[in-house]
Amino acid sequence: MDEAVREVMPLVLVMIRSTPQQLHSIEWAVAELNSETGKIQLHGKEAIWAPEANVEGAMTDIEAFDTGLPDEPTVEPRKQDETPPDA
Amino acid sequence: MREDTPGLFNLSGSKQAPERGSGRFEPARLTQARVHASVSKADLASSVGVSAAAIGQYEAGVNSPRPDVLERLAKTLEVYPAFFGVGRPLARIDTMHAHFRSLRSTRVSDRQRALATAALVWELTFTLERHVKLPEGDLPTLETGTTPVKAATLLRQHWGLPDGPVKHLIATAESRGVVVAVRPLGEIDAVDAFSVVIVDRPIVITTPRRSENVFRHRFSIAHELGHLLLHADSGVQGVAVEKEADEFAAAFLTPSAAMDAALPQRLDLAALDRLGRTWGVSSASLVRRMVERGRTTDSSARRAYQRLTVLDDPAADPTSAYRGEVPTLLTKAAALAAQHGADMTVLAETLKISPRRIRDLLGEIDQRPALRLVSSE
Repeated sequence: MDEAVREVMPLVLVMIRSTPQQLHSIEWAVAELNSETGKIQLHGKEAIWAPEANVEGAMTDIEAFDTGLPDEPTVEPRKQDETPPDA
Repeated sequence: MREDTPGLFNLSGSKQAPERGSGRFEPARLTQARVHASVSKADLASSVGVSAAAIGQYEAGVNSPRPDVLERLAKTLEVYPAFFGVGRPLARIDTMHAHFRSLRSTRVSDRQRALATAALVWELTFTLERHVKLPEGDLPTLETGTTPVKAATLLRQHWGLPDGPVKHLIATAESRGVVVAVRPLGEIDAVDAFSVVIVDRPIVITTPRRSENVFRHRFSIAHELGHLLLHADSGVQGVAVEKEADEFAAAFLTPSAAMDAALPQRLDLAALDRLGRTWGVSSASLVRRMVERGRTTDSSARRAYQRLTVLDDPAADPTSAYRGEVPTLLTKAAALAAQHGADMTVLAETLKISPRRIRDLLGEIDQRPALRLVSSE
């Protein structure tokens, strides 16, 4: 029994991405747990469902509003001899 | 200039009460603290043991409170006694132009309380600027009569934004000097969101009700940017002004030319959801855009809104999951100021309010345990 547990047992993993409004994609792959590293390796990953291209055609080249790093505000220490804004 | 004229920032005697009878009591400070605490004159009078008329006289500058009354006022309103003194820059709430949505349901006292919050946010910003350099407010000046759509185009040009979705809207606005603060429900609950310009500093204040969902949050902030550009100097309020700010937000986030190419030919909610996730707007706002661009009818849109209401999950797409949509300017400035000697205590001394209030204004959650005096018996 103990030996059976230690044997490699491939698992079919089905990955579904969705939002409350809609299904985005379904993919599957054979998942294998590497007992030494504790990481899961995926083999033969394939998409088994994807939305039909309609508006996506017009959006393929467009980067979404949340891609990339934000252009965050820059703050710098004020130098001793610098005049603050109220003066 | 008289030698005893206080400077713009008088750091001395920080927690001491202002002198009575020497003209150092600032009546507008009492109004600011009372309105911010949402306390009526009658209730405040009752708490400190004077008549309601006396509070009115203090606020009108007819009389100044005695030192013992001043101490009680400070305790009741949770400020230091020196808060009521002159010598610090003061954003007077009676001179601000702000635009509030749902005017009919917004009481004057709620609007005043919201403005008192904005005044405190500005005073904190101004104090931080003594120690750190923040980006200067960078909004284009528009000619009178500029349409909301033209204003949206001009802002995109002025900020150098490329065609396509406006990425990381709040970070983008903050890096152009717009201060954004999310205040807790209850403090400015009745007014939802509003914007003001105080001494060239554009400030947008919003609440979790507008800001929990990232798409509503972005539209709300864009709406306020519209007010700042189109109506900052105008005291005009009303439905027409709010509609203009909505038009601005729609044109800024989803420009017509791009929408003409991207909107589906028929009302397809799944397609609109995908499009909205690219442009950072809600499906409902895209349904409105489809009506505006002649892609669907008002009656079809109404059915779509009903369907979207059923599907709506308030917990979906929280703003907190989007780094570029969460305000960071004031917290970054406070952290840098602390590294250069102006920590929370120094800021509190300058503003004459407690460090806890400063943390609260910065949006920080106080995680320290609450300590209480217990009986020695």
